[in-house]
Amino acid sequence: MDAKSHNLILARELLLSGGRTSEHQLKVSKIFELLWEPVCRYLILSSVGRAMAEDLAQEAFLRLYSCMEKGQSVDNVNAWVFRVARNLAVDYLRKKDPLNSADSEIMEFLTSVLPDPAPDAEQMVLQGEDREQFEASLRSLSPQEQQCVFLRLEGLRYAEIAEVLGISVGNVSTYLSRGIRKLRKRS
Amino acid sequence: MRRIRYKDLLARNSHLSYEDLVALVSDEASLDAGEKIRKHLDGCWHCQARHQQLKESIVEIVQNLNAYVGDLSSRARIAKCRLDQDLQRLAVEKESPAPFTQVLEMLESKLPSRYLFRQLALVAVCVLALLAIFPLTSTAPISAAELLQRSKQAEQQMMETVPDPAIHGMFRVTKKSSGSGHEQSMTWEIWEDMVHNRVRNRVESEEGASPAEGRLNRLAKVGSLGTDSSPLLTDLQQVCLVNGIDIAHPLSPDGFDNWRHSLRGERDEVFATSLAAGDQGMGLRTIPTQAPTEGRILSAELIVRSRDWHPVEQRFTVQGATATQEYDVVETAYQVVALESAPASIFAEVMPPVLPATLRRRMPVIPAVALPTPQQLDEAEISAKFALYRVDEFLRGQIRIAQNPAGSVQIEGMVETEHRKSELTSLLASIPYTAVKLRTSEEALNDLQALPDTDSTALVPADQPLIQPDGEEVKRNQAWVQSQWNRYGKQFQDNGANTLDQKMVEISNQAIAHMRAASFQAWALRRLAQDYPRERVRGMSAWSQLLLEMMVQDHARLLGVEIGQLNSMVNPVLMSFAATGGAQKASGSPSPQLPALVDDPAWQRQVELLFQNVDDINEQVLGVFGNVDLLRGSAEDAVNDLLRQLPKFNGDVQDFEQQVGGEFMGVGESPALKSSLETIPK
Repeated sequence: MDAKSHNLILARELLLSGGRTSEHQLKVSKIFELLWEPVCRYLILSSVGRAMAEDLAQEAFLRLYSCMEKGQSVDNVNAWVFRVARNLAVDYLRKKDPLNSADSEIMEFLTSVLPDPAPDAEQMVLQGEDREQFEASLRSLSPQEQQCVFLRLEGLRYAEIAEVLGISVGNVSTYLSRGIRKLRKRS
Repeated sequence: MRRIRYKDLLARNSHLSYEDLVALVSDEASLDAGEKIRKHLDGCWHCQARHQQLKESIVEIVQNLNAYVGDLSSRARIAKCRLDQDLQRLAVEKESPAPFTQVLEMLESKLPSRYLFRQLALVAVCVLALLAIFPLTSTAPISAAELLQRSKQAEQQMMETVPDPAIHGMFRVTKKSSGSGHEQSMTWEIWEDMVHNRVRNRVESEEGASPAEGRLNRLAKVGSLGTDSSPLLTDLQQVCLVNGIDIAHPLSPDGFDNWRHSLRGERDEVFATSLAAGDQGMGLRTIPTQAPTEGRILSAELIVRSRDWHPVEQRFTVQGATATQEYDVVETAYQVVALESAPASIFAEVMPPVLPATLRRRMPVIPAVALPTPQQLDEAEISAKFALYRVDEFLRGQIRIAQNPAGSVQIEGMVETEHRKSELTSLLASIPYTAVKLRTSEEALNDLQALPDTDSTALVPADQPLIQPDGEEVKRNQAWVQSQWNRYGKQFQDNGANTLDQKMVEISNQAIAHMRAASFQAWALRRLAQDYPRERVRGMSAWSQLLLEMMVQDHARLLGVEIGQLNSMVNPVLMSFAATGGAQKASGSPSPQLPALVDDPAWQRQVELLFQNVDDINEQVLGVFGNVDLLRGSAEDAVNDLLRQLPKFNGDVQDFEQQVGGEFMGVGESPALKSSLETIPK
C-alpha cells in the first residue's frame, strides 16, 4: 500500500505542476503509468470484465487529458480518475443490464455477477476451492463495503474514497471496517 | 452520579473498536484519536493481538485480491502505447478542430461555467424546436373569412366618416403573359359618387399617349366601362365578368369574396407581407381546387394594410387559351371626399336620383354580370326538373336539362303542340338562370327534313348482328304460353261475351301497361341517380335537396305501386301456368337471379340495382305476355322467375324508400321550405 500511496502522491504533484499541450500529454502519460494499474484493477474487481476494464481505464485518462486541455481544475487527480472510472463502469453496466439501473442495484449486480462471466483463464490465479471461497466472501459484502475495500486496496485515502463514492468520511470508515471484518471472517 | 462513574469505568475498561483499529492500520486516525489508540495499545495486550491479527488479515485480503486480478504489468505496457496514440490523435484534433467545435469551445471558454453553457445550449435547442413546430410566418393570425370581413367593415366605416361621400382611387394595372413574356400596364383613375351611384373612370396607358376616358353609370348600364380604347382594361373587364368580380371595384374585398364563394372548392392561405411603403400587410391567397378552364382565375391574392385593413393590392393569375396571364392591380392613391369637393367636371351631367343614405355602400354589379354559384345553378336545374315532373313532362324524356359552362341551365327538347310549348316556357321562365329552348314536334320534323339524307342501315354495324333467339325456340315459347292459356285460362274468363283469346289480350295489355309505367319510373329514378351523385347532393342547398328527395320518393313509390298492381294481376295466371308442371325447367337454362340490394348507404347505388331488376322483370313480362322473344331461358323459366321476383321487388322498393328518407333526413322538415313548396307552379 505504501508504494501505491507514493504513486498517487506523485500523480497529484504532476497534475499541479501546470503546463501546455505537449506538457499535458506528458503529465497524463506519467499519471497513467502511476494510476493505470490501480484503476484497471479496481474496474476488474467491479466486474466490468478485463477487456472492458482496460477500455474504461483508457477512457478515464483521455478524459483527464481533455479536462486539462480545457483548463479545468482538478483538485485531487486520484479521486477524479477513480470517480470517472467508476461512473464509466456504472454507465457500462447500466447499458449492459438496463433492468438494474439504480446505483445500488448496480452494486448488487456487481456482487452477483462475480466472477467475471468471461474471465481470461490464463490470468486467473486462484483456482478451485480457494477461488470459490474468496468469491463467496466478496459476495457477502454490501456494494458500498466492496467499493470501499477495493478503493482502499488501491491506496486511496478515506477522503478520496468519500469523494469517489459521494459519501462521508465517517461512512467510509464504517463500511471499510465492516468489509474487512467480513472478509477476515470468511478467510 | 452513579451513572457517570459507571460510564467512566466502562471507558477505562473498554477495548479499541474494530473501526479504530482499521483506521490505525490505514493511518487514517486523527492526531488525538491516534494518540489515545496508541496509548491504549501500549497497555492492552488484547488489543495488541487484535491489531496484529488485523494487519495480517489485511495482508491476506490484499494478496487474495491481487491474485484474483492477476498481474497487469504486461497489459499496462500495451495500454500505455494505446494511450500515447490516443493522446497524439487528440493533440492533432486540437490543432485543427472542426469549425463547429471551435465555436463551441469559444463559447464555452467565454462563459464562467460549463454548466451555464450547457443550460444555454439546452435553452437554444428548445427554442429552435419550438420554432420548428410553430413557425412564426406560417401561422395565420386570422382566417380568410375574418380578413375579408374586417376589410369590408373598414371600407364601410371609412365611407361613413364623410357625408355625401365620393371615392377617388388611382390604380396601376399590370398584365404579364407567361407565354410571350410581354408586359402591359396602365394607370387607372376611378371616381365614384356614392350619393347618386355613379362611377367615372379614366385610363392612361403606360406610354401616356392618349388618355382614354370612359364613363360608367351603374344605373344606366351595369358593368360597362366604355373603355374600348384601352385593350388592357378590356381584358381586365372580361376577366372580371367571367369570374364575377365587380369591375368598378377592382380592389374590393366584396368582389374578392364573391369570386371566392362562386368556387366549388378552394384552398385559402393567409400570410403576412411587407408593403412597398414600409407598412405591414396581410395577404389572402385563394386557389380554386376545381379544374381550370379558359378565362377562369387560377389563383388570386388580396393584400390589405394591417393597420387599417384597407385593400392595397390584388393579383390574379388567369388561365388563357395557351398560356396564363398575371394581372396585378396596385392602389397608388385612395381618398374618400365630400361629393361637393370633387371637381365639377367629373360628374358634369344631369343628376340621377339620390340614393338613400342607408344604401350608400358599395353595391357590386354581380346580380347582372356575375355568374351564378354552382349551388344556385344546381338549384335552378333541380327546380326545372321538379317543375317538369309536376306537369308529367319529366317522365317522357323528351326534354333535356343540363348546365352549360356559360353559367346557365339549358332546357332543350320537344313537345307535342304549340300550346304545350308556350305553357312550359312560361312555367320555366320563373326559374332563374334558365335558358329555355323548346320545339314542337312539327318544328323538329321540319328541322329533320332540312338535314341531308342519311342511310338508316348504317346505324347498325354490319359486323355486329342483332342478337336473336333461335326461331324454333321462339315459336316453342309462344306455343307453350298459348297452350297453357287454352288449358287453364277459362277460370279467368268473366261472364261477358269476351272470348278466351280476347281475355288473354286484355290481361296481356294491362300487364304490359303496368310494366311500361314501372319502367318509366325506374328510368326516371336512374336518371336522377346519375345526375346527382352523392358528392354533388352534399354541395346542394337544402331547398334543392328537398326537391330531389321528393322526386326520388315519388318515383320510388309509383314504381312500387305499378309493380304491385302488376303482381296482383298476373300472379293468379302465372300460378296456374306453373301449377301445371311449368315449374319444371323446360329448357334447363339457368334462371336469372335478380341482384340483391346491397347494404350501401348511397341511394344512387340502390337505384342502379332497382333499375336492373325492373329491366329483367320487363323482359320476362314481355316474353310471357307480349310475344316478345326471350333473350335467355324459356317461357316456363320466365313464369317461375316472375312468381318469385314480383313479390320480392315490392319489399325492395319499400326498403329503398326508407333508405332515401334516412339519407335526406331533416332536409324537408323546415316549415319555411315546406311552405315554399306550395309556391312552385303546378
